Amino acid sequence: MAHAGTDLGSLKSTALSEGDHYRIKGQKIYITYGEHDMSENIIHLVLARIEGAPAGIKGISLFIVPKFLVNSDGTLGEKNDVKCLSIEHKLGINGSPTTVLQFGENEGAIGFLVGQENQGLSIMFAMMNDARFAVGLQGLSISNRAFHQAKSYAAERIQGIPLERKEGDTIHHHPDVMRLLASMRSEIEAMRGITIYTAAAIDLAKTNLDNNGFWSSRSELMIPIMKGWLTERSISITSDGIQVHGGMGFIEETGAAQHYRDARILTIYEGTTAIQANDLLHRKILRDEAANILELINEIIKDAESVNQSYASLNFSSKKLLEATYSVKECIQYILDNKELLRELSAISVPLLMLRELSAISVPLLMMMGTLCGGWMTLRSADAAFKQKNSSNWNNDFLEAKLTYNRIYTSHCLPNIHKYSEIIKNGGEAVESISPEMLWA
Amino acid sequence: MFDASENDLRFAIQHALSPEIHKLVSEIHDISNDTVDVVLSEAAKFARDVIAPLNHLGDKQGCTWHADNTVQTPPGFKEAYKEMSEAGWCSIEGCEEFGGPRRYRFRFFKIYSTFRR
Repeated sequence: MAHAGTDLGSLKSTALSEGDHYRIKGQKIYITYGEHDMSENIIHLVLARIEGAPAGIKGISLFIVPKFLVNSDGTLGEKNDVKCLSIEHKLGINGSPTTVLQFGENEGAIGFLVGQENQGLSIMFAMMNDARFAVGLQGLSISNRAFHQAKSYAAERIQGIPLERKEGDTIHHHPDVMRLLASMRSEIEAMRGITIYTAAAIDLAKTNLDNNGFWSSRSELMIPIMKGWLTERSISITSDGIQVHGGMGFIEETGAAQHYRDARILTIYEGTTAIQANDLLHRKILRDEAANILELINEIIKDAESVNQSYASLNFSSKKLLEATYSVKECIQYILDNKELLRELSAISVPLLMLRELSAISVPLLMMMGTLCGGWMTLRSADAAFKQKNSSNWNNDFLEAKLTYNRIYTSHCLPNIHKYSEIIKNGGEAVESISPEMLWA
Repeated sequence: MFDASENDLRFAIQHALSPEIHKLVSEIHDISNDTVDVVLSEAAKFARDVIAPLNHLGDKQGCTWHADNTVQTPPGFKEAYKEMSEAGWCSIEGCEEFGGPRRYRFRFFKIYSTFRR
């Protein structure tokens, strides 16, 4: 039976033990590059249930299923019993084949167990962290490509005389075109910082350093924030890229539309934004009473205070970042207070309602954390740019731009924190009060 | 227009982390700023010259499924993948334990794929 996505417990593919391998049967959909002509062999990593395994997610094992079996001397052998039944027609990423795979149409595809039986889920989670980081990175990459395209178009296109400018001036002299381009760029700067910070945290967690436990928690915290925020923002940024082009952006030939279509999968695959947000809320915040996230927030406060005391010219952005941070702290406290309430309530058996309300504001919470970390990163960038001024390492225009993008981020993106804060404090109950019937009323 | 924003990335790698953490990351991977610079330049060049030109055609042409259950990727993808693999970009983040070039899995280098689009 076809199976895909979020609900792994319902997985139906089967594995039968046969000597040193297993025979796998089942159909899989949405397999990216499940069949292609770019390499001589393909290694499929397949989740299946070994005969007699426990029901649900505890009975899932992971297998390697090669497209071609490999002989003992390393050469390619017989074709395995795996078949690509079709590929999907999609909104975007058309260069990437999304396949429907049939394992074991005949005698069963030969598969080799990875790790131990019934360990499939925990092994797959290690893979998921990897995949989520990579998809977050795609959010940065495609945003950057959309920005450069829009920037170049706006530098050539003439339409209307920009306010208080002369005839023949290109459209980036229009204040709103500049607003679009500058906010795109400033968010990309923020994304880039978050990506590098997360990559460093993941790397440091894998070492035998004394504080690798700290980095392990920090990377666990950063991965859903990075994946969720970068990909959500990439949809808006690629959309703004089209807006800069005007009508031409709606025409496929220009290429701006492709970025928007391609970005649209990013908030869906390898765990939707809601999955990231629930991971952040339930596993990364509630489970340790917000200890890790408060440590991160306090670090941001310390950084912002130190910048605030160092340079008058960064006073505005460091002050605004501090304000935003207090607002975030208040929201985390609100969530912790409600968690307490939850516990009391469940003691008198009025369960779940608060938990459901919290889940209903988990995406705004994730977006708030992404926006905050972005502010932190652009402030760090501005701080560094300030220190590097008149050094021989970077030219001053480049450094001046870094300072400006921090100012743009602070005035155009950071205020979203206050919007998310309002939603977090008031929005959960409102969603929970809606019954599905009301959608039809 | 494709621009890998090489200098922005270079600046962010040096400054998104505090100097102490930046030093720590360099130490665990046993890699100097100069080497990182060279890798960035090469990655940007590869992305600009080999990958980026395929983007529009890849979208327009898409992939083709054939009745013999094979899938054909857009023109140029196969050659670009071969080139990417031969140049070492597919294994650059891998660690020694699994035949890669580095002591630890080098996540930090995954950054190169920021250029891949």
